[in-house]
Amino acid sequence: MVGVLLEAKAFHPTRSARSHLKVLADAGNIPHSRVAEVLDIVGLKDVAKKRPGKFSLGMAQRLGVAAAILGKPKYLILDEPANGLDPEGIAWLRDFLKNYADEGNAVFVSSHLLSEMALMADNVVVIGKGKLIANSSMDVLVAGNGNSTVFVRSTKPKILQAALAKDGHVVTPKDGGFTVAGLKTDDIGKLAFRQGIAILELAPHMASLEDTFLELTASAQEYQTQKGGK
Amino acid sequence: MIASIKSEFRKVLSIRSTYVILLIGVALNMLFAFYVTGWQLDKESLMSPTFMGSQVVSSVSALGLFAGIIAILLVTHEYRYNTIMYTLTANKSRTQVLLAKLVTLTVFALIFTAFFAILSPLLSLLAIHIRHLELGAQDFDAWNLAWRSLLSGWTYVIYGFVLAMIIRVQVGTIAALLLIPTVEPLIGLVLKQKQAYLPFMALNNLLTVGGEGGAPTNSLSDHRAAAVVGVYVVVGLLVAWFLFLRRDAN
Repeated sequence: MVGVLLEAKAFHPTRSARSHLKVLADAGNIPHSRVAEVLDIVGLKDVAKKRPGKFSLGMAQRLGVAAAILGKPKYLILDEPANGLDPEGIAWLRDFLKNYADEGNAVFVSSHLLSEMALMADNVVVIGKGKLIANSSMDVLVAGNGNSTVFVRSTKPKILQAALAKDGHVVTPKDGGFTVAGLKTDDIGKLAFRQGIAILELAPHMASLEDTFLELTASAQEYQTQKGGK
Repeated sequence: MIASIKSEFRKVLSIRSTYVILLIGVALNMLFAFYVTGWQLDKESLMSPTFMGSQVVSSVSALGLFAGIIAILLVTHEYRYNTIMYTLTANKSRTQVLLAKLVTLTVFALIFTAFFAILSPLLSLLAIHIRHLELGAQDFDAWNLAWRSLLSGWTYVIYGFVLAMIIRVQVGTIAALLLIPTVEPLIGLVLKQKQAYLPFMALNNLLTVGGEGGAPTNSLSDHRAAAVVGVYVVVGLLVAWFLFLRRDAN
């Protein structure tokens, strides 16, 4: 069974939240006791008898999630589930989906809220203009981004910079130290050790998922704006 | 299939519109059957042997449209509020979904028609009783009236259902259901004798010929009227079925 949330407000506005779920339960041969369970899970127990026409977008999203998990599906597909949720709701959704996945289920989330996805997802699929651009774990995807750097402070920065530049790495001076692109902290540490240079600070600066996404989809963007709004 | 039927029944019974329409039906019966007919009619009119039969026919023909509107709402709400995606994914067979709606509406139509066919004469009798008047001896064939009423009520619902499956837009479908019987007499000016073959004319014919409401002019025989209505119903359902299988859900 597959549980799906494609549109939050896919319900009759004058049919109570509980009746809406009972209609779906009847159609799927699901016992009505499950309706009470899912209403409790999504936090709509107190408004179960109310008409969802007056629900906020966040409450509608919760009702949509309740409908999606009604049949305890092995696969859950959610389209922009965090839309309209308040911070507490987003935190709830994140925990809920992680727990649901930890129970051995697969959760597919389609979203443009990349910062939220960075906290929520284990694996990322990037699609641009209908084509698969990337499909990997979150860590690998972000680490592979060209904007990931390592900030270095050492006792002999000029010698270390020269050694790194000699190996073809891009070095940029910054805040009393310098940044190196395309190298891991381990590699820089080993190089410094070989040169007999003491390291004072070695801090990785990972690119955000947004940076990675923008870099990956740069050529696949349908509507591009001019920089500076010109 | 059984699951889909259960779900369709819950859809009809769990929205406000169904009860609002039922209440309007009861209110109209109070107005016409109780007040206009039972309370206002003179003694002579109450002596008519077809008084009760006419009450049933009037009630069924007037409230059949309301039952048709409930059928329209069952279908068009699905598209308006996009719950059709749940309906079509819960049951993989669109034919079964269509049949489930048809079974639900058939049961609903029969109960709805029977309720108002009984309520209307009862309200008139109540008003007459309160006025301390006597109703003349009644002469009607109960079974004849019953099957005509139930078949007519069901046909109104199926007309509404078919229109909804074709048009899918709520306001447009309700407008069509109300406009077609209004426009038919105008078309009848052109068709003359053949106007009895129009869908609502034939339905009205079925309800009244041999019944208690008085046969309309240019009427068809019982069997011919039933056959004409049957053809409209069968062709309409086939078109609805074909479109439901072929069209996208939104």
